[in-house]
Amino acid sequence: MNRARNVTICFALLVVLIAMAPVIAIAPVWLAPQLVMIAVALMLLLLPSLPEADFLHSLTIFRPLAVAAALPAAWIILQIVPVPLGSIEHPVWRSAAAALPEITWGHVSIDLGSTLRGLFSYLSLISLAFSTCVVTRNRDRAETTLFALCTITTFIAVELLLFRQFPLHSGNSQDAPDSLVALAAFGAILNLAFVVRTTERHDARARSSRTYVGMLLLGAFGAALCLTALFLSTTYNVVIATGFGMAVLCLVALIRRLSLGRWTAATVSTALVVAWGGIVVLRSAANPAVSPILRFAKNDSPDGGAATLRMLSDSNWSGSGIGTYQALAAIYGEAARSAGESAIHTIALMALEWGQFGLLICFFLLAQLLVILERGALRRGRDFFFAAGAAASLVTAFFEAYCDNSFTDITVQMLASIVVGLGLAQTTGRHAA
Amino acid sequence: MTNDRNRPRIALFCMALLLGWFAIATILAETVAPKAQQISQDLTLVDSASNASMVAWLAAVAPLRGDLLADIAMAQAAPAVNRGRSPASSEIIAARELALASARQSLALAPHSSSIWLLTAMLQNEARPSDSNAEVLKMSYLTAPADMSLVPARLAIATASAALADDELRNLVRGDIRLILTRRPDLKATIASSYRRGAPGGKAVIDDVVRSLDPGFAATLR
Repeated sequence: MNRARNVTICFALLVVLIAMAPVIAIAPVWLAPQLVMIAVALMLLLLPSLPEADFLHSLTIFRPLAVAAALPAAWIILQIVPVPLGSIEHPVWRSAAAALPEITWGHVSIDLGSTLRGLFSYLSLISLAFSTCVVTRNRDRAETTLFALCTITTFIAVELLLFRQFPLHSGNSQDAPDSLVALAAFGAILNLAFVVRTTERHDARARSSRTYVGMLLLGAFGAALCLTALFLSTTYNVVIATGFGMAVLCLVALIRRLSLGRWTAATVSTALVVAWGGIVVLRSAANPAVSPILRFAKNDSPDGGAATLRMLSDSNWSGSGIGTYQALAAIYGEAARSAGESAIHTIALMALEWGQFGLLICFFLLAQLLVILERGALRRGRDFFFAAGAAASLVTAFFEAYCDNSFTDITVQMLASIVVGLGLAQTTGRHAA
Repeated sequence: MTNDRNRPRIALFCMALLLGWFAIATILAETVAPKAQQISQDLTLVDSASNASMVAWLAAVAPLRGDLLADIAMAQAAPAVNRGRSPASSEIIAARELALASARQSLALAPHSSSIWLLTAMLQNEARPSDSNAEVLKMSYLTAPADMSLVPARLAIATASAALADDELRNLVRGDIRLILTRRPDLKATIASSYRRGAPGGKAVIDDVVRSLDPGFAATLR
């Protein structure tokens, strides 16, 4: 009885988190991550009382990711711990030590409090992905979660269209639309996954055609709405990034539908990657006056771009600490501050805050996630669309990271964690793990 | 075997406690800490209640938060900063020492805060006028060279300080004056007020730069 109640509470917390996404997007910057953290802590407390098999299977699914997921946390801790002056610390500590005799050690991070908050945010996102995985091992709950994600992201796409018509938004004027754009991009992919799911269920259970067509139209309408919002509110580069993600989902569906052999599937996948490369090169060539790293950026202010390049050229392998972009931009003067409260795009921000080594660690985690999700999608039975949708969302997030700073927003990070957790949960069947 | 099965559950429980504690501590600390403020153009701060026990409490519940300690230092410094030229009582001296300690503690956690370097320079200058604050003032310039909200207070503090004997600092002060004259002429009044309050060395620097860039304005300074 208690166990059933705990499952219900845990699942309700997950759905509430998804439903609260638009509220979290406009909550004060210091409050939003804490609200997510409290919800995740409650979910973690309830997890052990969920069905034993789901819990153990989720542990098995996460085991190959353990090292890749622990590395970023270890890296952030390294940015906080004291190091001898003259070693790997940020240069500002050396200057500070000359002015204040009590500073005898340096740190990689220039703001230990912000970096500590970054560490806890990261831990809460990993925990959220794991909690989602345990809760959505059950297929019914997984489908409800997918439906909730589709609904909220489509609602956000409508919000984006309304913002375009009635620009009432105030406050984080730069960040909020970017985060809404990223969520609309996820919406296009998830709605497509919903369409695939409807087709799969129809094939398997032969439901009445009226329900089938209704659900199919619902998903297609959601995807069309999200794509329309993207076309009208953002740059073509973000739309292309969304297209890349949708292509991943379509590719997996195609491989499964046509029962392609291993080598044929590999050939088609390679052709897709080559096509992506061609599109990236063409888009890059269209903007030759700008530095290659900034060619896809939505914010193309020359001052902001020049300041970002100056910061990037001075950055080193260890970075300035997670959550320190604004402090770093202040050191670089007016031009860097004029670029906005956040960096020109997520990759630039990560290169500055995480450092080149930290960026590599994150790419490693992303690559491992993609491999596990893709492998799961190809091996899984009729529920493959969960893992394929999650992989597609990650591909879009990766390419969009070169276009805007949406992935630095807690709402986008939270929904991405839930999508990944959902995808990982369904990489294996309940009896197969 | 049972221990192996329980280990993930214990890890999850610990993680839940850790995340819950951090989130609640952060919310409490952000709610309790005084509002962030900067030293105004006339070198005053908004007076708000803050004491030593609050610093100790915040340091315990929200560790490493240099930004919150900075807000506390600003609040603690208000009585000492706002007294103007009136003689310092023992309470004022105690408030100044407390604020200085909080400011230094904040800088040891977040040395990028230009306004706290400036506050430290100001308080150190009052506590020990004979000591040079050149390095502390230079940090204020290096951590936010173009923050126009800090320029007026920084110019006033630097030009009144004996630290201006330092060549590098003198060049940085010249840069601030040039910045006002060329890009923010609406802040010219701050140059005039810094000239009035300034030490002889500070007046000479202001006079020198203003005369070369805006002779008309230089004539009104004297």
